[in-house]
Parts: sequence; structure tokens; C-alpha cells
Amino acid sequence: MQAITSGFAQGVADSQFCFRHILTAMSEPGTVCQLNKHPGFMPLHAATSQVLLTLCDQDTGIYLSANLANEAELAALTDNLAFHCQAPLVVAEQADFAVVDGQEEVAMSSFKAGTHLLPETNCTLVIQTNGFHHGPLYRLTGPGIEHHKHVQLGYLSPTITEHLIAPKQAFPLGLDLIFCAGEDIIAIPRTTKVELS
Amino acid sequence: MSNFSACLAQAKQPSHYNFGYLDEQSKRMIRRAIIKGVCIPGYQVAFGGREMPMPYGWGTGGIMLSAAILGQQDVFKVIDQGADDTTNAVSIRAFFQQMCQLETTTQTAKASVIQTRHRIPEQPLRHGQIMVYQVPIPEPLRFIEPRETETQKMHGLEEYGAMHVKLYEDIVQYGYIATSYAYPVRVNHRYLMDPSPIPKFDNPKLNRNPALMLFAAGREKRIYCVPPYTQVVSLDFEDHPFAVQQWSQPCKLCGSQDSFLDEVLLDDQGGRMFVCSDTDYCQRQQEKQHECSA
Repeated sequence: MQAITSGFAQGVADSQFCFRHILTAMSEPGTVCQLNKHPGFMPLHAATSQVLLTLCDQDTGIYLSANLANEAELAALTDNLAFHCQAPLVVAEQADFAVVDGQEEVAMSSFKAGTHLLPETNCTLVIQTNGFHHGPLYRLTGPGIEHHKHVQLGYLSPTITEHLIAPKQAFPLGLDLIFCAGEDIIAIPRTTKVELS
Repeated sequence: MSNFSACLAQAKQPSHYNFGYLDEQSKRMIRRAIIKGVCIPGYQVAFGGREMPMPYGWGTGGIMLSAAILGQQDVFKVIDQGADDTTNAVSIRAFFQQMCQLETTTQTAKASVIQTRHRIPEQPLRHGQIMVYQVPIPEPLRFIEPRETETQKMHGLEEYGAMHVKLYEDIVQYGYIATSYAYPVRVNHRYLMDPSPIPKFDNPKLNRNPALMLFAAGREKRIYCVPPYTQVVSLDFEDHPFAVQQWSQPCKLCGSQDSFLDEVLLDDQGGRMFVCSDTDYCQRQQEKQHECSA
């Protein structure tokens, strides 16, 4: 058994704070929102941990990519998530929330994309990246964006970049993406059109 | 009313209730549904409704949404048909004043979250504000097709012809589209959505509005959302374009000619007057006039 670290200091207020920032990020794609209520469960970034703490519980299956950390670190993380979220760990195909590294080659088609009758049964992909000040420049348009927005999402693997620019599924199916870097998040829901700028 | 509000402001949050009344697990479930709704604008996401301390039909969907999103730093406004001082608005405002110990207001500009029953404020909303709509029947196709299994398929297949037929039947029967509230809209070129029973006068305000719009039906257990700056188009025909209500008289109290007016009967001799349904807007207009004339 690994050491359990503490969760939100103020469980109710902190999860409300984080939720409102995630809501802003999701409803205004490309906007950087800061989540600073928790230092993060190693090896996850602070923002990634707070997204999971805020939205996950016994009803949501979480998939953790093996590329996030070594086995010992993943075991500690698993214990912390089990303790704080009570969320079951599942394989990629069943995940409601999946955490992956931005530079790994992710098989995007393995995640749930929803169905035409129930498009909300898709997977929310939480992607850990190395910052929002480098990497290719993307131009975003769509709901939540007044005209257009330019963002950088760090250095991403070709499969993730390809999914951003040309997702395999057409709306209303698809994946909702939350990019996390340190305490910052940028969300790209399936409605957002992404082009290389 | 001021005494009542003063009493409530002093009332402490009951220690045996969680902040915002709902337990954290219910809030998380509702929050996930809101996030999904935002990702699929106009689509109705099913959620697990909780029993709230008021009967269905009084805004249980709206207060579940508000309970899941409100924080202590929020400034909360509640309107019922545009008015801040009607039973439904006063009691919901008092409920959250007590449960969240937050600041409440009647001013549209000051509010960060506005819960509404069937109106959008006259004052343009700003970026960063959240509107929470109380919805009785979330499914716009329900009176055309009563089976949920079928309406689900109709949304999946984008099969919305029946709604145009309904509007067409209006034209055949009355010569114009007689639907005046809960007027159906298309969100972001895809989902057909019931904007809740707001008058069609308010429909154009939904289009590319800078505020985030959240809708919830408590009894039907559905949440749907319209993110800011999202295209919302009212259905119509080329030869019968969408048009909003107009009045022959201005508001009797503030003289406004461009707000939504309620008709008030004055006597049994046919006397009547028209007044703004948005009480906050009407008061601001009257204050402006006093300033001008002073």
C-alpha cells in the first residue's frame, strides 16, 4: 500500500471552484483556466488531478495510460484515485475519463465516441501536455468562440494532432478533450473546429 | 418583503444540510451532465433527478442546476416571468440565500448567475454570466410524438420535418405561425431545442448570446445547454419569416417601446394597461426618466 496524500483542503468549495473553471474552459474552447486548489497526485499534473477530483466518482470509469509514469508511481496514483474518487480503473474502451500523455501515440479510436442516440456516452480525454506557450499554432472556431481563437497546446504526438484536425467521427459523436499543463487547462470539445494556423 | 429578506439574510445555513442543499455526489453527477450538455449544444442529457424541497413544476430542474453550480462568490438573481418579486422568484432566492449564504440581487447587470422562469432579461447579458432556465417539457417534439424512444431516434436521425409541419398547420389554420412561446429553435445547425416557455420575443436574444445558457427539467430529468456565441435559429419559412410580438402601446410605467409587455386588466369595463414584464428593467427606465427630469 502506497502513501495516500490529501485531496482538496475544502472539499465542497474547492470542487465547486474547479467545476466552474472546467465549465468555463469547456463552454469557451481555447480559454486557459487555472485550477490551483490542489498540488496534484504524482505523477499527474495539478490540473489533471483536480479535473479527476472534481468530476469522477464511483459512476465513472477512469483509464490511466501506462505511459504516464513507471509502475510504482502509477500504483501510488491508483491508490490515491481509489481513495479520493472511488472510481474504478477500466480499459480504454470502457473509459468515461481517460488520462494520457500528450506525446504518446494514442489509439484514439479505442475510446468511446458515443452513439447517435446517446452521444453523451463518449469518453472525456484528459491529455497532459508540456505547456501552452509552444508547439504548433492552432486556429479554433465553433460554439463558445466569438470569432476565432489561436492556441498552442505544447508538443503533441501525431495521432493526437491528427485527431484534433481531422476527427474520425462527425458531430454529435466524438471525444471531448481537456489539455492540462501544470495548473492550467484548455478544453477542446467535439464542437470545436481546429485548423493549423 | 423587505422584512422577510432581512430575516433570511440573518438566518444561518442550517448545519445539517450541505452547502447548496444537494450532496456532493449528486452535484458531481449534475456537473458531468452540464459539461456533456455544453459539448453537445441543444442535446438533452438525461440526469438523475433528486427530490428537492418543492413540488415538480416549481422549478426543481432550475434549482438542481443552481445548486450544482453556485458558489459563495456568486451573485444570484431569480426572476419569474421577468419579475423579481413573485412567489416563485422570492422563495428560490431565499432558499439559496440560506443554503449558500451568498449575495442576491435584483439587478441583471450585477448578477453572475440568473435563474429564470420563462423570460430572458431585457438588459443584454454579458460574457461570464450564466442563465439557468426552468423547463417544464424539454422535448420540443413531445406533442407531435409522445414516445421518448421515437423522439430520441428523431434527434439521432435529425428528423425534424414534423416540427415544420406543425408550424405549417398554424399557417393553414390562422394565416400565420401562432406559436408564441416555447418557439422551437435549431442550435448550431443540429439539434432542435425547446427554449423553455420563454415568449418568442426572447428567441432572438438566444442567438450568439455572450452568456452561457443552461436549461433543466426536474420532472423530466433532462439538462441541455447553449454555450456562448452559439448560433440559435428560430424555425420559420421563407414566405413566413420568424417575427416577434409587437404592441400598439408603450409600457404604462416607464414608456419603453422595445420591451416585452404584460397586459393588465384594470376593471370590468374593458380597461387595461400594458407594463414591462421585466421589473428590474422597468425600474431602471423609470429611474433614468427621474434623473432626466430632475
